Formats: sequence, C-alpha cells, structure tokens
Amino acid sequence: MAGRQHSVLIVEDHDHTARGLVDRVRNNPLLKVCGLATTLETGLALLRQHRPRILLTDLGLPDGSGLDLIDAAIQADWQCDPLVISVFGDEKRVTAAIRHGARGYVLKNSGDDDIARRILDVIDGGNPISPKIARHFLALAAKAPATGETESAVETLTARELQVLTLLARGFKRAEIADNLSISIGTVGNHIHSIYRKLNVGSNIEAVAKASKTGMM
Amino acid sequence: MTGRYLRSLAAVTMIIAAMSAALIMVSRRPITPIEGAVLVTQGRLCNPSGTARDAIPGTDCSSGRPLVLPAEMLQEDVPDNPVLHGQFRVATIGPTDEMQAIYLPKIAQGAQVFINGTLVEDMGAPGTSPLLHWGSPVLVRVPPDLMKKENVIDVVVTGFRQDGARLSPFFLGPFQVLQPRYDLRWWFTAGGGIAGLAFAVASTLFFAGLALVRPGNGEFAWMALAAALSIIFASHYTFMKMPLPFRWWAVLWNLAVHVYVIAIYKFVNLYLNVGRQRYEHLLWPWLALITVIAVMVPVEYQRHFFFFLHVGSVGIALIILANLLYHRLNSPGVDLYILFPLLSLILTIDLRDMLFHLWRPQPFNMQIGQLSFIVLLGIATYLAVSELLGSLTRLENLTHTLEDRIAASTQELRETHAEAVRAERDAALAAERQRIMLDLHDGVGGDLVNTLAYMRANAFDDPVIKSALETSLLDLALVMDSLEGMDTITTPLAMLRERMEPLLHASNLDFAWNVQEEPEFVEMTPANILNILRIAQEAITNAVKHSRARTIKVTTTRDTIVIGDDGIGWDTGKPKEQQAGGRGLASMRKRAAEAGLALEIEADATGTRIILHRGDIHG
Repeated sequence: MAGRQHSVLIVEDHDHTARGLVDRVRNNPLLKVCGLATTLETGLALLRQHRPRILLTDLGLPDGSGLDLIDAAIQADWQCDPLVISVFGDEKRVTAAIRHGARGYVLKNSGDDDIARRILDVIDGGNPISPKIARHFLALAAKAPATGETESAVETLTARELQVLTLLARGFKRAEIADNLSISIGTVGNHIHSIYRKLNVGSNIEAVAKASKTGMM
Repeated sequence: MTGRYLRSLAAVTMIIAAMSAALIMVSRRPITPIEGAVLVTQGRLCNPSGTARDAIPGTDCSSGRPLVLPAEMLQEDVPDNPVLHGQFRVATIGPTDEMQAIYLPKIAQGAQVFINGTLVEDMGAPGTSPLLHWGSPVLVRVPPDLMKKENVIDVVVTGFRQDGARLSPFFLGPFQVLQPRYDLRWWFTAGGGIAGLAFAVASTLFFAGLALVRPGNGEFAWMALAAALSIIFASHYTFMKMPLPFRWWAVLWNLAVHVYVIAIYKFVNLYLNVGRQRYEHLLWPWLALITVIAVMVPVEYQRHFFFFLHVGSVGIALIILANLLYHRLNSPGVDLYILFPLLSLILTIDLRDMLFHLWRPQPFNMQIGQLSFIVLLGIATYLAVSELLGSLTRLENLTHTLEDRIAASTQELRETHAEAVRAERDAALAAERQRIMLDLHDGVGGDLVNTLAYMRANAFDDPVIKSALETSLLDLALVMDSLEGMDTITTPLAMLRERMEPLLHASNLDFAWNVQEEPEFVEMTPANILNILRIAQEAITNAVKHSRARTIKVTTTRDTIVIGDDGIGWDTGKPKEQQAGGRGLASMRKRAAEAGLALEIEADATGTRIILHRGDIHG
C-alpha cells in the first residue's frame, strides 16, 4: 500500500492550520505527508529532498512568497503538481498562483475529506476551479480577441468551452453542467482541462507572464 | 503665347494708345498770351554758328536770320555745347515806373538774359556747363530804370551737345502780372519735381518695408528696387545741378528708367504667381549689354540710343499690363481694378515725357513725368494697405481658428483630466481594497482558520465558539467576495454556494441551483453585493436550521433573486418573538432597503421563498 501512496509536501506557517492539514491528508490512505515546512527556505529544501508528487503551499510565508515554491515545483525534473492553500479561494491570490502554474487550490478550512479529494482529483488530471476563477477566465477570454498582440498567447475558446466557463462562474457543479449541456461529466472535465491549457495556465508560464505584462491579466 | 494673351496685349496697346492720345490732346497747349504782358515770339539769331564764339551780347543782330520761337540749336556733330543767342526788340507796354519782368516759361538749359545791354539773369555763360533748367520756368526781375520805350532783349541759351539749346516764347511785362503765371508753372514743374522725389522716396520705403515684412516670392523687393531707381530720375526732374557730367548722368537716369520698368515687370509676374518666362534668363546679359552700349555710345548718338531703349521700355510696360490683364481675367481679383489703371496711368505719363525728351521738335511745352511718382506712391499705398488688411484678416482667421482649437483642447483636456482623476481614484480604491483584502486574508482569516484547527486538533469542541468562529470566517469570506469588483452577483452567489455546501451536506440538504441569468436590477457596488449575499446567507442558514427542508433552491432571473426551500416554513405560524428567523428577517429587510431592493416573503405548504426584486415593481 505504501508504495502506491502519493507524497504530499505541505508548506504552511500557521501551526495549527498546518497540523490540521497534515492530519486531513494523512487520513486518506492514498496520500502520505512527506514533509511539513513553515518557511519558504525550508519548503524549497524539502521540495528538492523529497521530490513530492503534490505541493500544498500557503502564499504568504514569513520569508517570502509561496509563488517561488510553485515556480520550483513547475520547473522540477519530476512531476510535481502544486496547489495553493487558501483561506477563501480569493481570486487575486489564487489566479496569481495559477498563473505561476498552480493546478488549483484547497481551502484551509474545508471539510475533512475535501482536501484529500481535491488532491486526488488533481493527480487524476482534474483542475479544481472555483466560480471566481472561472469568472476570471471568462474576463480573460473576453479580452483576448481585443488585444491582437496576445492572440498567440491565448487561443480562442470554443463556444462550448465558454458555456462551461459561464456555468462554472454561476456556481454550477460539474455534474449539473453535464446535465445542463447533455454531456458526460468526463467531457466537462475535458473542457475545463482544455480551458486551462488554452489560457496557458500552468503549461506556459512565459506566455502567461507576457499576457500579464500586456495587460491581459 | 496663346491667342487670348495676344488679344490681351492688343487690348492693352489700344488702351494705352487711347489714353496717350487723350493726354496729348488735352496737354498740347502752346504758350498762350498773357493779358498785360508782351508775348515775344520773333527776333533775330545772333550766332549762326550755334556756338559761344559769335554769341556776343550787345552786338546788333538786326541783320541776322529771323528767329521764330520756339527755337532750338542742336548740332550733335559739333563738340561744344550749343548756344542759341537771340535778340528781340520789344516795346514796353503800360507804365514803366513799376517793377518789370521777363518770364521764360521754358528754356533749356542755362541762359544769360540781357536787357538793353545789362545782364539781368545769369544761369550759365556760354562755354560753361549750364544749370539743368529744362524743367523750371525762369522769372527775371527788371528794374524800371533799365527799361526803355523800345527794349533790346538778348537771351543767350546754352544747352548740352546731345540735347540742344532751346528757347520758347517768353514774356516781357510788369512783374505783378507775370509772377502768378510763373508761380503756377513753378508749382507744376519744379514743385511737382520736389514732390515727386519725395513720393519716390516714400514709395521706396513702403516697398522696402513690405519686402521686409512679407518676403514671399520677393515681389516687393523688386518693387522696392523699382521705386529706388525712380528716385534717380525723380532727381533729374528736380535738381538743377547734376551729380555727374551731363553725359554720365544721362546714362544713369535713362538706364534707371529702363531697369525700373523691368523691375515692375518682375514684380507683377511674381505678384500674380506667373511662372518664370523662358526669356527671363536673358535679363542680366541684357542689362549688361545696354549698360555697355550706354557707356560706349558716342555723345551725338546718345539721344537716339535712349530713344530706342525707351521704345523697348514701353514694349515691356505693355507686356506688364497685358500680363496683369490676362492673368487677372483668368482669376479675377480686385487688384486688377487698382493696379491696372494706376500702372497704365504711369505708362501714359511717362510715354508722353519720353516724347518730350526725345522727340524733336518737342511736341509739348511742359513735361509732366514728375507727376507720375504720386501714382507710384498710390500703388505702394494700395499694396501696403491691402497686405495689411490681408494680414489682419489672416490674423483674425488665425485667432478664430486658435480660439476654436484652444476651446476644443481645453474641453478635451478637461475630459481627459476628469477621466484621469476618475481612473486614479478607481485605481487607488482598487489598490486599497486589495490591501484590505490581503490583510483580512492573511491576518483575520489565517487566525480564524488556525484557531479552528487548534480546536479540532485538541478536541476542544465548544459548539458556541466553533460556530462563532465559523460564522466570522464565512462573513469575512462574503465581505471579500463582495469586494472583488467583478460586476456580477451570480459569481458571489456561486461562491456562497461553495462556502455553504459543506454546511448543507452536514445537514443532508442539497442545493437546487438555478442561477441562469444575471440579475439586471442590482447596481453592482460592493455594498449592494454584500447586502444581497448576507440576505442569501441568512435565508439559507434559516432554511438549514429551522425549515426541515431537503432542498434549497436558488434562482436568478433578470428581475429577481429567489431563495426558496421545500420545508415547513421558518418564518410564519409562530408568535413573533418565537420566530426563529424573526431577527434575521428584520435585518434582511434592512439590507434589502440599503441595496435599494424590495424583499418579499412567500410561505405556503410547499415551503418558504425569499424574493428580491426592484422596489418599484411590486412596491
């Protein structure tokens, strides 16, 4: 069993929150916590040492930004999916992290099995997306055609992808969207994955940075 | 040259011919008798040689050749200055006790006048260079004691070799009778010359000023040159003493006239924007050629050379007028009606004077060229005034344009400024909002989560504290959602679903999510969004806690937001103080009012519905 467990590195500076996260990850038999860091420096050291499959990181660390950890995870020579630990899933913070390549976010205070579920979802290739992040993507997609220069950076979304994004932004769950559009849940997941890819989120940091500089984000 | 141009040239030639004929007709008056004075027209020639040699005053010439005035002694083949010595026997009329006078209206050039052997006027003895006296009359006072019943008057006129010595009919009579006639003629001739010189100088200044102020194509510089040259021949009309020997002075002023005409030609063409003509590159060689000829030509042929030169000048003048007429008929301008008559007048006057100077015998008894300078000044004045008016008009237009532009720019600037201020304020607001949100997130939010984690880790399970912390956390989340500034209510509602779903699941409730349309009746300010979120949160909480519902349905349309449940109702049917949602209901109404919305509650057997809509539809 231990050999099939996915390793998770947690970087969080609030003691109790960190311990709570560790507990909730450990409770899932498919996951193990390979390390816990409370600073950026330790986090980077542990990242290199343990080569985790998943990185859970807070953004506001005492000695720096969790974004640096996300960058390191994305550039790692093994597969490491970073997720942001957020109190509220607030759009500005989380989208900044997603721009750096984070695959999504977990809420600090979510239910016992929620965090593990999200981690496993990401390992399966899913992309956790909140209504706010969907709204943010919609705004991006609306701006993209207007700024000709960035057309290469962000591909145009299909009508169906825009429908999916709109419904996500209005609070519908994947199953509801599948129902609503008479498609399978898997297809909805594929659309979301495609949206992430097209908006160059997580896959092309340079391009997104460029888009960000050109005022798209 | 087009036929049209040739017709212009022909028309101009005919106009000038007509004007000249008219002028000649009215001005070809002989010297007429004066009442109370003797007009002397006949005498004897004392010096048949035409030189100073046999012109000896006092000798009796009664056996000499009859001399009829006007008379001229012109011997271009004799190197000496010609002398015309006439002797006239004239009886005194009227009383002889008052001052008498000899009035010579026209004489060329200098003369000595003797009466009964006494020299009464000396304007240059024969053999000397005489005063230049062709333009002005001479009035010689004769004291009564010199007078006899029969008087012998000797007039010894000295001229220049290339011009001749001339004597016109003259008068003997009382000074009082002759003086007014002399004065009148003086004003026209010598006085006119002085005025003409002044006008020429003034014109030069005008045109030089124009050339400086409006350099343009250089047209005014040419006109200034023309006016400056006119000063030279105006001096010839005015002064009796020449700055140079007669020959060289003649070369100078005659060439000046020719170049004057050429300069006016240049002016008119530039003024009309007529392109440079092919033959114009001959201008400087031509000037050099005529200068050399003028200098080289033998004295005896000087007059003939100048005659042909001025025939050329007249030709150029006709071309000037033809250009003016031709181009101004093609593109009419008021200047045609000013410049054309004035230039034609100058040409007519000068043409007449050309005949006066060069034709023999002289066809007129008075030159009038000195009067042409006032016409030149008229042209200068007209051009200066029209340029001034043009400048003023342009200035006025420019001022209007500038004023309009300034007004437009000011307006634009004002709008840009207002927009910049607005953008700056919005940016400052957004930055401040962002800062507050980060503070809330990292500070209060992190602490609340940490405390909850602590309670969980230590099995410290006080439900009141836990609920209070969770409520605070949720409220903070709502505040942050409302502050995102996304211009939407559906996404904050969706976030509310995210946040409250664990609570619903814990109580075995589900959302029936029907957020299909963006409500259009809400003004999307953070305060309004927060109020709606809190109303929704309150309604959902009440439904979870008190309604025993299975499903909470959230519906949005363009006109309404509805939060309903399928429970037994949490609002009605109990005394007010026992109503679970009583306090919450009051706060919901208050929040709805703050957001400018109406809140209605529908409760029946199927459940309870909180309906938000625009106040003015349902009251």
